[in-house]
Amino acid sequence: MRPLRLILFLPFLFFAASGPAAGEGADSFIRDLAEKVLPQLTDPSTPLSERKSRFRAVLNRDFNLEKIGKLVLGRHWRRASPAKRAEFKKLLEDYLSGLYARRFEDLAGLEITVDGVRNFEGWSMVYTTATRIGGAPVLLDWRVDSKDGDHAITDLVIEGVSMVIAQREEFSAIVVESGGLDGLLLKLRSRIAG
Amino acid sequence: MRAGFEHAPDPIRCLVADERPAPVRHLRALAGALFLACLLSIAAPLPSSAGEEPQQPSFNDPLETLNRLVFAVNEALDTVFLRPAAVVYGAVVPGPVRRGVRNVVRHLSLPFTFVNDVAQGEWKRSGDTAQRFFINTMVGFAGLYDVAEKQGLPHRSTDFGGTLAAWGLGEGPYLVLPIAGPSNFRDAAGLLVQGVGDPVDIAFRRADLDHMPLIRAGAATLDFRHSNLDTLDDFKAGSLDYYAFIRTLYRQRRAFEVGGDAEMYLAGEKETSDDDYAYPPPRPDFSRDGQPAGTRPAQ
Repeated sequence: MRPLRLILFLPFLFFAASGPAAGEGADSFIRDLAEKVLPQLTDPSTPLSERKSRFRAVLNRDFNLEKIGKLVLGRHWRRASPAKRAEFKKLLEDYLSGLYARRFEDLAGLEITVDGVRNFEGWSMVYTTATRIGGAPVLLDWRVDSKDGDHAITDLVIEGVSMVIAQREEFSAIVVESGGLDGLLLKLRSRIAG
Repeated sequence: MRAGFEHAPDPIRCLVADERPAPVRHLRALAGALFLACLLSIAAPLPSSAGEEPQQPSFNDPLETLNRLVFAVNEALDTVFLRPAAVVYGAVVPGPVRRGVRNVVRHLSLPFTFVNDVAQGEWKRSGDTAQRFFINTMVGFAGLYDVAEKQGLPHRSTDFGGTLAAWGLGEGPYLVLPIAGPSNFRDAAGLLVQGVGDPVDIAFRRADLDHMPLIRAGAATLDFRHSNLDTLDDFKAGSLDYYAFIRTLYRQRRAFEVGGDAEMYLAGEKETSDDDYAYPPPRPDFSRDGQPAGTRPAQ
């Protein structure tokens, strides 16, 4: 009886072992983000300017902006000078802050449940479903890099649409059209200023 | 999702708006068919010109110049006609009536969805579609009320472009259709088939209700445009290159819906990106209780 029982348990053991190995706690990281951080951004009693600066802090702390910058620029990153890279990083942060800050109201009351996790070497996909009151559920998948227990988001996949790829294609189109990275920087600068 | 102009935003609609893709658009299918016929005759030599610029990243858009032109015309038409119409529709027509319009529009798309489910070999889904159609026809007053959704049979749509994908046909170059909006060669062909093969429209015509397909298409378009007012306004205001943004949304969303294309889509990306970033693997199918039901391929 005993060996048989052990065999029955083997798959479970394997499943349990493969769980936390690579991206230990990536799911609880996302859960924390949804339960503790999100309400701080959507709380209507806090002034918008305060919420914006909070969001910027979240971007810097919980997102890997360095890597996102690299990914969305793709091959243009490789060719850019260190000064240009630094400028792009700063502009990207400003641009993303502005882009998502406008949507805070829509995020109020958003409920995020973790459907599951898949771990890969050094990173995980955390699969969640986001539901708003009266709205249809939206599939929201987080790509999380994990290192020494530290987690940072590198991509957000919304209903199959990767934000990094979307941003990369848009930026790349601008670089091609304007004939260089400077065109993109200019466009970002004027958008942020406007 | 499928069909018309609505295409454009569809990817995003699911991000923000509460609605999932609407059905078939006859009118647009027809326009698409006409356009495709014209296009095919002139398109042939164009793709090779993409090779002129060796650093051109792979947007799968050899017809970009033409596409951008059509896109701009569509945008102008939207600004002048469709968007204002959708605003008025939202202001004048009460919510419950709009809800009913949406339900009927979706209901009428189910027969063609069923045909495609079967053609794709999706037996479980075709059963769900048939059941949904039956329940809402009988209990939901010919589709006016969505009773099936409460019974765990939510609206789902597929189209002939999805069927062609299931049969192994690649997306082909990206294509912006006049009025119908973002598409590709495969999905445009799908629209064409839909234009002549939609069972409900065929039934309408047989019953000498020739105006019904048009009314149906109009209602579907209004419903779609109205439910995406804020989303599209937002994306238009937020994006730096609206055309490029919609293009990537359409392509990613379609790859996600019909499956199979993601890898092809990214094969070209790998050359241009110096990082190890790859498109995330297909999402595992999680059942309602949160247990992974195994990792099925995207399709």
